[in-house]
Amino acid sequence: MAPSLVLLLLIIAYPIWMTFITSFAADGGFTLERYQSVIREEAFPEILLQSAIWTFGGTALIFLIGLVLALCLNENFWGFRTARLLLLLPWATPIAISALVWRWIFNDQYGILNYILYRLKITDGKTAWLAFGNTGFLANMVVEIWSGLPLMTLIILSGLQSIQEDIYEAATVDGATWLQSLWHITLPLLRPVFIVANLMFVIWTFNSFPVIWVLTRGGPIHSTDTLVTYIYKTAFQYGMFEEATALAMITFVFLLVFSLLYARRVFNEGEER
Amino acid sequence: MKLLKRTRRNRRKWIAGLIVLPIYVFILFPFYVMIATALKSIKEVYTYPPLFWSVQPQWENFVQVWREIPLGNFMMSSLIIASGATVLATLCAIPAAYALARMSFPGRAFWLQTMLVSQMFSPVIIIVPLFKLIVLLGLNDSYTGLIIANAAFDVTFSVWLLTSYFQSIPKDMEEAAFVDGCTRLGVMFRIVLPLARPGVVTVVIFVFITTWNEFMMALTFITSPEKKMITVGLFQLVGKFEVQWNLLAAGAIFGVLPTLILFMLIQKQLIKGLVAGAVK
Repeated sequence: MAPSLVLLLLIIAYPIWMTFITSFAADGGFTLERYQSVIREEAFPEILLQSAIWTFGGTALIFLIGLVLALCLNENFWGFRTARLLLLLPWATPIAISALVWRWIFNDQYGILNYILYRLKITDGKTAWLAFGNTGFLANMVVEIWSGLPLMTLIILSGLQSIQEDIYEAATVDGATWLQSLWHITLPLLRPVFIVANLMFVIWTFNSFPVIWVLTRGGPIHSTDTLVTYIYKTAFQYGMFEEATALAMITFVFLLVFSLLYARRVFNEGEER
Repeated sequence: MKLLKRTRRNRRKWIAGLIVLPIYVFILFPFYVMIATALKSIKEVYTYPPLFWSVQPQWENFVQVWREIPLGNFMMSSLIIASGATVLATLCAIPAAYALARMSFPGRAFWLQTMLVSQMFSPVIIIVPLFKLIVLLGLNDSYTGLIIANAAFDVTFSVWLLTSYFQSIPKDMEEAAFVDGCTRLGVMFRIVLPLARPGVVTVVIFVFITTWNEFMMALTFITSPEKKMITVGLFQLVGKFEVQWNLLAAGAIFGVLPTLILFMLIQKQLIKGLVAGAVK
């Protein structure tokens, strides 16, 4: 037991404590100055907003697409086992490397995406995806969704498969259509699964660093930054370590709230059964 | 009535299959690009309109990439750091999980909850003081620093996985061993561990994969080019000059293969572990 404790205490607990202290400390006194300066930073509201859209928008999209995909996979069509295996690929590859490949896909001059869009007559084929804020943000979201889809789909699929067939049969005998079964049976039954999965993904998406860093580095300027990349930049690019700790504390509070919600959900589910 | 049901079922399968198709194009697209690009010659990479497949696939790229970019260094670094973290994390996790599974001590519930919560951590929160700590210990730009850091982050999930594994092993064998005069440690090594082998294997592979794939700490804690892990090394080759995307793609394939294969080996257990939190 002891070695794990030592590791954890040293590497995780101690730095958390230091982050906490440093964010409030100044010349031997307690101060809220850091927080004030950080919040008053011009880019701060923008970054907060971007983080929110990134986290909640991303999770929502992953959830919706995952739900559709899981429902389809549940139908046991021919080849669905291969499909389920292939689904694992984005999850199994190091995201930092797959993000690099996506970067090439999004390349404005030679990237294959622009060419396809051009041939399909959707765009003029010259979009400089990663050079601007709004398109860059979209590109980042696409990659994040791409990588998050497998796990979400599998969780939902497991949930779907755990529902017994007879409930559906009883419903069809009573004349329910597929859509009605879905709305009145499946979704309510899976509500706990959905809540836990979404909480988990909110946390994971919020924490996501490699995707944004590899594709746009949070740029241009701060237009694709989230809190996470902003903290990193503040500390290691601008060298403002102390301010970064204040930001980190804010982030920590957010994560703590969601983590506790998640933990409570998981433990409660366990106790109920 | 039966016939009607079956056709409705079939029709649903068809629709499902059709909806799934574009999603799978999306999912598999980068892999196609990765392979197609790796096989192109540099001229083919930089042509417009882009080629969907090389006219003359350059299989030599897979050999040349080892010479042109320090791929060997990257892979070696990743191997050393991932293996080191795996050993460290597993060694720490096994006794901890055993204690949590078998013994009751004050604060046990607290530990379980803390572990669950700390799984949700991103290194970003503590990266500043952690970096300073690493520098303080003289471990910056060293393999050891990253090994310790990664192990610490992975130990919680490992303990989590192992605890549930240990708990599912019946106690009678251990009781019998105690009666025969075996020590706690002996029991752990000779009885419980062999029985929990699948769990240990899963943990070992999990830590290895997670560390291999890790990016942020690898980016921050190691600066000399020879020691970079592959996730960072490949990334930093981009944007230098005119990037040789074909070689980069080949390098990417090499970087992706180890964890891809390992992942496929443990995917069942991993999913079970993660899903169990959500579905019961």
